[in-house]
Amino acid sequence: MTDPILPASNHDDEVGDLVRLAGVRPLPSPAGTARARDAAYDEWRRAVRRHRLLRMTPAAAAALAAAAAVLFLVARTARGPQVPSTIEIGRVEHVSGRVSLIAAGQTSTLDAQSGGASIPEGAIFVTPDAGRLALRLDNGASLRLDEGTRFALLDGARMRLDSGAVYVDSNGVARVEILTPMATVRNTGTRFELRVSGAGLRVRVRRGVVRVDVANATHEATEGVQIQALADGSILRASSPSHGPEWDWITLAAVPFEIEGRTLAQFLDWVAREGGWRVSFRDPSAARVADTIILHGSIDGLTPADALAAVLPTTGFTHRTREDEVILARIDGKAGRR
Amino acid sequence: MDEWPPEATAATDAWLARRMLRGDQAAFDEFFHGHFARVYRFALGRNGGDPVDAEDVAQTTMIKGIRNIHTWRGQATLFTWLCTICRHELSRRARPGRPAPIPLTEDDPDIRDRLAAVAARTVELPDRALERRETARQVQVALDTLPAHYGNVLEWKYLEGVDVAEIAARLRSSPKAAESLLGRARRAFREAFLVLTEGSSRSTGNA
Repeated sequence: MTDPILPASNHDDEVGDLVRLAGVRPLPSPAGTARARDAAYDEWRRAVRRHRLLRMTPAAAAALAAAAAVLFLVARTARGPQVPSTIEIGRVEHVSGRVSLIAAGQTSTLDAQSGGASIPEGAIFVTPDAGRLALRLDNGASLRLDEGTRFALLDGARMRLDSGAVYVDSNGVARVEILTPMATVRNTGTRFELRVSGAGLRVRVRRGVVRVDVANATHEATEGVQIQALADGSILRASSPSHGPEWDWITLAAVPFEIEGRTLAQFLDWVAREGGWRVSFRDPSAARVADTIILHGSIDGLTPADALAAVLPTTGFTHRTREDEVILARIDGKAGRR
Repeated sequence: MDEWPPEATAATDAWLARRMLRGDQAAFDEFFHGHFARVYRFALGRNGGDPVDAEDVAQTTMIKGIRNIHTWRGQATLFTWLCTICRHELSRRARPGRPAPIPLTEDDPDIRDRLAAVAARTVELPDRALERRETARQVQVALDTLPAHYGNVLEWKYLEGVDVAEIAARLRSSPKAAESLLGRARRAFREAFLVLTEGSSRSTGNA
């Protein structure tokens, strides 16, 4: 294309001058990019699964639609009218047992078939003594509610825990604030558990920093620390491991991790996130190998620790733990597939 | 005509969206890495320059985009579509106590349409410099408006001083193809930049 006004070389100079004037475009932080990538990747996997369901053969789709219509009518009859949604701020990921959802003044029930249901702003969740809930907010944060919990989502960043326990994996969301009867808990890009009972509250931090505002004072809990604020006003501080059986309920509340077709590296990411460990490799080449090993089978019902013990021997890897670190190494001459 | 044809980008985007929905991880990576930083800068320019908040907004935008990518019909490029989602997210977050999204030249619907289309015409670059900072910002907006690889090759060429052979190596293409791409990127950039500067002059009452 010829330019009627300026010769091409001048154009080049001018474009170059402008680009140099602007300098390098601002970039998000590497940590922020990694967090967003992880959250987007999870959402993409779910989108692909949904799309595959929608792409079934017309006959199968028609049969499924008919079944869904019947289920809808049954559910509607059993539960009454659907709760009108206001502003949607997230989705239900996983339900075990029957969980009550209170929204816009109406109560409905969430159960194992409620995965994917939208969450309106202001929703209140009540889990029974034998039921848990996993939620995913639109900002990427993951929430898990333990048994016997009453919890309100005021909006995407403000919540209220009346009783029971919530686990927050903020996935890089800058500010999360949880109100409780006796304190306000704020975090900055963390993973932590907050538990409230008549005796007070307890915060246990896996990653990052959590601030507890109670009685006009701020207390800070860092990784591996727990703070208890008791009803009599006393504050107790103690160390708290970031992994172990006390954290297992978090995994039990979540969508079961499917290892079929995943790489060993993806499985290890899950182990690290759910189990509270840091995963490292004894040599860099082992990390590259972990990216290439495809897993098969199922780890349903296993905790991250049990799953690690079950899966690793089939992959040509071995591991040992040191405090909160899992160190992996290849067994010489092996690179198996589960 | 050897201009950047918007329909080519649309076709590439449509192919990308289809591959993503089929479960192609390379397509996901291309989508994420081709858009996240651009959406981040889009948010950063409208939220008062808070980088942490912009990362949150960009993350939410990407998640909502992926969740709804099956509804994208290709009337706009994926980036333009993501910008629409981002605008809604910024508005949703603008509540009492939070600053409202900052309207910018490129938010004008007419400017937006023209940027999306980048009309195939050549206009003289403005012979007087706009205020330096605003010009720099508009240059970055123009670069972000182009397909990601157009913006990248211009930065490689003019900021990193990379020669055509190296650009070709980075793109895994021939030097001839890289040279051609560079030419198209320059012209597309000029058009996008002119749309912005013309819009800016119009909104401030300048001729």
